[in-house]
Amino acid sequence: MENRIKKIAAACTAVIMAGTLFTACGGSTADTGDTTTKAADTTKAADAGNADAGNADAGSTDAGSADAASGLSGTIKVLHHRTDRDQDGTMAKLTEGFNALYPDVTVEYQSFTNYADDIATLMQSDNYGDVVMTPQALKQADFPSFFESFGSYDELSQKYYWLENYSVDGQVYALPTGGTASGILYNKKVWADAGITELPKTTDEFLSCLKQIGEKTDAIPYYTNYAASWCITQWQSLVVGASGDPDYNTKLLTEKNDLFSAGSPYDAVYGTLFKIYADPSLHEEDPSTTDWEGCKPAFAQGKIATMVLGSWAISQFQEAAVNAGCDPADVGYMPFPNSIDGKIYSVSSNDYMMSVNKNSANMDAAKAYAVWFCTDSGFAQNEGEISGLKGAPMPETLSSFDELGVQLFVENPTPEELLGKYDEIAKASEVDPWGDASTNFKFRMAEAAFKGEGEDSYNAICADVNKAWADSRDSILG
Amino acid sequence: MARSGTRASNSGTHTGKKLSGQYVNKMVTVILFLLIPTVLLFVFTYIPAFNMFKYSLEERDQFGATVKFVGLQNYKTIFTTPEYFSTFKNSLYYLVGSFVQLALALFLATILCSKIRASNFFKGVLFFPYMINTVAVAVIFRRFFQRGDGVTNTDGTLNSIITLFGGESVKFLSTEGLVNVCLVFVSIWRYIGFDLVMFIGAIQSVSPDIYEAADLDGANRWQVFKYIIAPSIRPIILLQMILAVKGAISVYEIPYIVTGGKFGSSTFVIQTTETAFKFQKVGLASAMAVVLTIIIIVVTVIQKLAFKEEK
Amino acid sequence: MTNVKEYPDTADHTKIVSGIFTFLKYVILVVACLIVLIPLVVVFLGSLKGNTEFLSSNVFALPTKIEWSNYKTAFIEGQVLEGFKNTIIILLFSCVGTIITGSMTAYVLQRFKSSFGTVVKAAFLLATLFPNISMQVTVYRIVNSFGLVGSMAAPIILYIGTDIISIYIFIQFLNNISYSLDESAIIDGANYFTVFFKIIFPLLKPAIATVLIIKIVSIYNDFYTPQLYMGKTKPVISTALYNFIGPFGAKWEIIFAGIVICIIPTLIIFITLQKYIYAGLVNGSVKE
Repeated sequence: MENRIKKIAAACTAVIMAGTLFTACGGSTADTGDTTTKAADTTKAADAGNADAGNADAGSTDAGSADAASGLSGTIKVLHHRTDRDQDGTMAKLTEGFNALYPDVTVEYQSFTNYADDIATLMQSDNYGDVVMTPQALKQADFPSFFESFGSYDELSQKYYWLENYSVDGQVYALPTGGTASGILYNKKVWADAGITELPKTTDEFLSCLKQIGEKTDAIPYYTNYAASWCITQWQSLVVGASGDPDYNTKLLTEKNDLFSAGSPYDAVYGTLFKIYADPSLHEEDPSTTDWEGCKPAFAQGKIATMVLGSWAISQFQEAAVNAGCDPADVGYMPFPNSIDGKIYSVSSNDYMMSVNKNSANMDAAKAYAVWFCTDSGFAQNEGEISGLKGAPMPETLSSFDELGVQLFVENPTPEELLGKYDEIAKASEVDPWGDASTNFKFRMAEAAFKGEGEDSYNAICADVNKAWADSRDSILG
Repeated sequence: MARSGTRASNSGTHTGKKLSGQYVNKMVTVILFLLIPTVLLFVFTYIPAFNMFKYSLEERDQFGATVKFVGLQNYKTIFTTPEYFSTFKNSLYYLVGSFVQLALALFLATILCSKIRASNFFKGVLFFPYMINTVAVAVIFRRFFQRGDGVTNTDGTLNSIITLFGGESVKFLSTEGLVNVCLVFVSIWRYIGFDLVMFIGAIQSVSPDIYEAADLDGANRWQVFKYIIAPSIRPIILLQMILAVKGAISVYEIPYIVTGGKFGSSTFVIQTTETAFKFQKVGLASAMAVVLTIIIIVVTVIQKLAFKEEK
Repeated sequence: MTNVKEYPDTADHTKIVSGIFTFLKYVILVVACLIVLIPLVVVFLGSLKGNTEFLSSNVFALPTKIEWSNYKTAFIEGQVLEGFKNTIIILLFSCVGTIITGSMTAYVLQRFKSSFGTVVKAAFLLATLFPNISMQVTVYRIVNSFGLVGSMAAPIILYIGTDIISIYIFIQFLNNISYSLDESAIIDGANYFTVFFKIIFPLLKPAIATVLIIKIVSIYNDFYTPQLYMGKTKPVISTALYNFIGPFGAKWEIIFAGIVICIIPTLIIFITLQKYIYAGLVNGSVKE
């Protein structure tokens, strides 16, 4: 009999670290959602790797690869989250480019569907490969315990974006593999068919556009993708953009503002979410059975009009459009329409960063690979991501932002004394703005909206969040 | 008798030597036979259990890089924050479900133990889900309860049946309350065969003679059930009820895969893992695990006492 | 079933009543079986359909054209062959290991009554109470410190080392084996090793069968341990199934084919060993 409990228990344990199946599509990456689950992407990256390797960023001088072309050897293991790119051979192509410079280094890849969970488990020991995608969950202060420094912040920050949150005591522990802008993916054709000639400038206009689509077309105005937990975290990426303020997150700590107050960026973003989710005519019928993979062709075919997703998604949806025999040019991208003094902003932030295991047996080779990957591999470009290199051209996927006159900005560095505090408060309060735990306020709001509870319910959740945040903030910052 | 007599007469002067030889042999056997299992037991059960307790007194994250001793703080947090216990109310669904499952299994077992053709076939079919991989079960039922979202998915099995009879599709997995009923159904579907086999085993363990005697005494079906079948399955029922309690408080995998704990289908264990891995509070999560362990130990002790009573 | 007697009521007219009863019994059983089978049949039907047909046809509709390629995709992309191979290796070692260590432990604990034995027995008993869900981080650290992560040795050693149930099954069984067998052998000059391996062990066959069945079912269906300790590098059946569910998010028909592939061995084992499985479960749990 006991064996049954054991069995149940054993079965139960099953998913703990394995994380999620449908629920998350491996979506534990906080920043950009997760892009791991692409099925049969025919990659446009056939010309990736070797072809682009040498010339990707001709302007940049590369400390890592310039000196050491000779002498490096050994085998390095790269742990990453792009199972799709492993499967379609992109990674192998990349290696060819790397080996052109370092012929004696053997590169092995290991990709994980639930990367964030798996890497955390692997990091219980010293044996977590040589090069890894930097786990988002790791506290900033703990980087030196696990990773090797790439050099000084002062020097490297001239060259790369987004190093602030990955530096400790002036040393950099991770380099950006690419970045993404925040905004909204929309099907140009559907929006045009609904008679919308001008993109919305305010959240109210945005809502009426969705209503118009619902009335005039057969498409679903907004697809929540609710079953994949990480999808709702994409809304969080809109917040800083909606503030138009590169210091927004720092000011949350220094000025001690509530997250939610009338007209605050959080309110603008999640108030819009609540209104969309509360109106059954604006979203799909049953949000618990949505399908992330399935939504890509459906979007291309004009069955779905709009989704909040980072710009990393653009290239995936374009590929899906090609595969479905549709026009990839219909994949449009716009910023979250929260005008501040007549201007609309979007924030660009990093995708996964890359770090080197400080216990690596082939440290130099591992470092060379990471530097090369983030500098010369052309990976970000081929993925349609924003390059982590300062001065590199914007990806074509974001060309629409220029036309719309969107102000794309990067957050300012957090002051030294506040480093890591935001994360600490986020976790301690369990408000966890980027999180996708089932108790997260985003899910509470969404489910209250689905159930048809009104504004009162929204306000009650906001009040809870404000209180939890303020309590933790005050106890942590004193 | 005869043998022990021989033994006595055989002993004499050799006894001491032989006994000590036997004693050494015995000790060597004990040590050799127990060495590996005991070492494994301590290394893979007791040391981790001890560590878990140690972690519960600490503030630490998943990576264990910065650790701070906080005493009983984590326990205080658990017992002063009602949210941590609120998921236990979902356990009630599973508890009720387990009792339904027991009743159904008993009912089906009595049917199968009467004169039924192809009873083995029925038994086999009803039991088979117990043998299926949990991941597969979760996936199968995700599809089973699916409602078409009008874009990427069509109606799943159950909604297809409903619409076939002219009904309207139901959002099984996104309606609070209903979602738990669905998940409990999955649990019953999967485990009822186990109970069934247990009950059938118990009923059949009663000697046919007793039934015959009852027959001769003119007992009716109900009397047979009450005086013969029921006593024989009493311990099994008791045991299953205890198991039901244990199972209900440690439900995890199926809800996690099917719904991810959304729409109010979260459980205490899901919450524990989320606390550890989503909020990076491994210390707090360990304390929650210790609480769960204690509850399970208490239930088990009750079980043992109940069984003593029974005997 | 046959050994349970039916109780015909005395009066004749009750024959009709009893006929209705019997009919109702069948109705109930058939309905119960349908509830069990429908979700599975749908999986099987779905696995034979093409993607467009899957999305457009009723779930109960038979496939117009059988799409075996789903199975091919599931089989190849799902690394099923590799999964079967690894599963069999793990099963083999774990089962042999469990049977040897489990029966030896049980023998010592059951035969040699000593205070030490009592303590060890209590330690094993107590161990069954810990929910392994909650200890995964700490267990992982230990397995890892032996450098076993990523190899098949990790699940094997865990399956052997944390299996307490089989010890209990062996103990129960030993309770019914007479001490006089041991005693006479010892008097004849045999040592305890010989007694155990030559006399006791062969008598444990039914218990071994029980342990084997419980073990095979639980290992075959275990997902957590292989996923945690071997990940994608060495898939077993259940992790192979899990791993390709992600990339095939939208393609139910292929996922279903994977599920069918995963269930087939279970079905074959179940059909051939039905009797032993029931007996195994009943023996393994009646007394705990």
